[in-house]
Amino acid sequence: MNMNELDNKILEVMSFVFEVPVSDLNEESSQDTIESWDSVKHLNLIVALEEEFDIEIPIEEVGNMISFKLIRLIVGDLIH
Amino acid sequence: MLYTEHVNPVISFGNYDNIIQESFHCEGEDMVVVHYDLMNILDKYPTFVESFDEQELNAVQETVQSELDLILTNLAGVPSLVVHTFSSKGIYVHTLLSPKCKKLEVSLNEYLQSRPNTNLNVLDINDLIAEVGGEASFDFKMYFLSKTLYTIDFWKAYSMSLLPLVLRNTGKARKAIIFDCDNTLWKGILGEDGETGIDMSPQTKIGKIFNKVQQLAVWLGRQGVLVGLCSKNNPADVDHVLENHDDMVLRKDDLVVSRVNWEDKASNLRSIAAELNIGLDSLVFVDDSSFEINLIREQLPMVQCLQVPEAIHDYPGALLKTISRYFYLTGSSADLEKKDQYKVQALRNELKNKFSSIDDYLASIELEITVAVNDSAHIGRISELTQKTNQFNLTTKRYTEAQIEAFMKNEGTTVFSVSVRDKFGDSGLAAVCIVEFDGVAIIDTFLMSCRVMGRNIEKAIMDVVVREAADRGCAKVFAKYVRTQKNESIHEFYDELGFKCIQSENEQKVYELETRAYVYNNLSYIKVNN
Repeated sequence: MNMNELDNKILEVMSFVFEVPVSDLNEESSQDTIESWDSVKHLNLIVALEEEFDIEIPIEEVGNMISFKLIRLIVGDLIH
Repeated sequence: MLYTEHVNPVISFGNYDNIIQESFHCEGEDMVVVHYDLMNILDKYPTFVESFDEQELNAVQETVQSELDLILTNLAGVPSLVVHTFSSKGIYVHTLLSPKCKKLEVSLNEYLQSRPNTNLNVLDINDLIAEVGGEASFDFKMYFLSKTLYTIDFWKAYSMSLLPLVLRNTGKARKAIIFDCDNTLWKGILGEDGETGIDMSPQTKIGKIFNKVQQLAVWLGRQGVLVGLCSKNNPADVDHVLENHDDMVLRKDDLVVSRVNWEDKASNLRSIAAELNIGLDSLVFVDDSSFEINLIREQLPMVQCLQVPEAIHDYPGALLKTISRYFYLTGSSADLEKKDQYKVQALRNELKNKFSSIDDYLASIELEITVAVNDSAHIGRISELTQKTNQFNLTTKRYTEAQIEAFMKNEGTTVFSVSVRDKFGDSGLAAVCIVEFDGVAIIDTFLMSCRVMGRNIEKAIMDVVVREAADRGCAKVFAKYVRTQKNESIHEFYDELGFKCIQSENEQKVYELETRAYVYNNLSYIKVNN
């Protein structure tokens, strides 16, 4: 999976989970910019990412995935 | 998951650990599912449950019981309530010793099962965990992150297990199961292998499987499901097997309808539905042939099909799964009697052809109705009729037992329940009318089981209702017809009885009747017992 593909997939998952159009999301998207990103949606995000990329996100990382860039970093590590 | 079964629920969630608070705000919901979990309950205590002493265990037990009482009381008005059993499976399992959490589980479940709420359905969560698998049911990461113990796969299975209840509540539970014969009720093809060549013997490896399927068919019949045949065969051959073959479990008496001929199965299923007076969407069809199954799926998509599995040992299991999903078996006595009534119906139809006018015929069968008023012994059956009746149902309002009970207790409403019999047999409680008396009379519900349609019983009932309205000094009777996909045939019911339509919108008509102007039917051939 190349970088672009990974970015797009993550953005699609975020768009689906937070119910915002992909066009409203970008590299800088985070808990501060996405209003609907609450604690329940955060868990939905974890489950959706695990399903989409067939990975298991360690419980220690769950609390760190609070922005697009951090998600990309952690997911990128896990799929390699 | 329910969406795939054409059930489109509108779902809302409560807040975590707010069951009691939320239970105050559930008015107007059709169904409330309470997720009250033992793991979450015990999570509040600072010590592991296995180190609890007797006193502490009792304290937990009492707390949960009193919370349950409060929840069940608050939710008593909800038409349908689901509470799952308490499970210790995610807490501590020891198959040899009986852990304290297991004892707690057992005693709490005993308490839950014994609650008298008529709207309560208890879902066995351990059965569900067994079905999904323990590993696949629990997600401890999510548990420690957010106290949600169960996986999405578990919740998918959970929602599917609500299906029969939802189907019953919306009047969509299946009513009949129709079997093919060759390679469906027995191994082999009767027309080719002959009566001695077919196999449903409990003594052979393959025959045993079909024997089991026949046992299931007989059981279904006894549960009130209408069991029938639809097979391409010579009728005399099949009859001979049904009557004489030693290995048959299913006999002619177990069948309420039969289409053994060489016509296409879609036409046969249509005529079966017509004879039973039920919709095609009330049928389940079982056949081994891909051709027949595809034909029905294409031409009659509303019929639920089960194809006999290639791996034949999976057949009884597949049949049981279909049964548990699409039928709602309560084993109530009314259902049991019903099967006989359908058979009597066939006899009545035969006799009907011999009379020149319908009135002559009706006069000959000694019709008798008994009208009960607010009889609490009938609550279960009345609720069942409101849930199941689609064709002769003027407003198609579904009511739970709790709601019927409330109508009976309310001074302003009267629930008439009508039992019907004739010289062929007892049709049991077969019609319901719910009327609100408030200066005027308002007919909330008027329904009749299709088993007793075509005998003008509805006219005799209306006489009773209008007379009651007159006795109570009501100058007017108001009524409503609400159109559904299934009650088209009675859209002029009130017009025929002399009601005046005062308002007509797309799907509903409102009627008014001057009580004084009502022309009583006084049908001589129906004896009315009040």
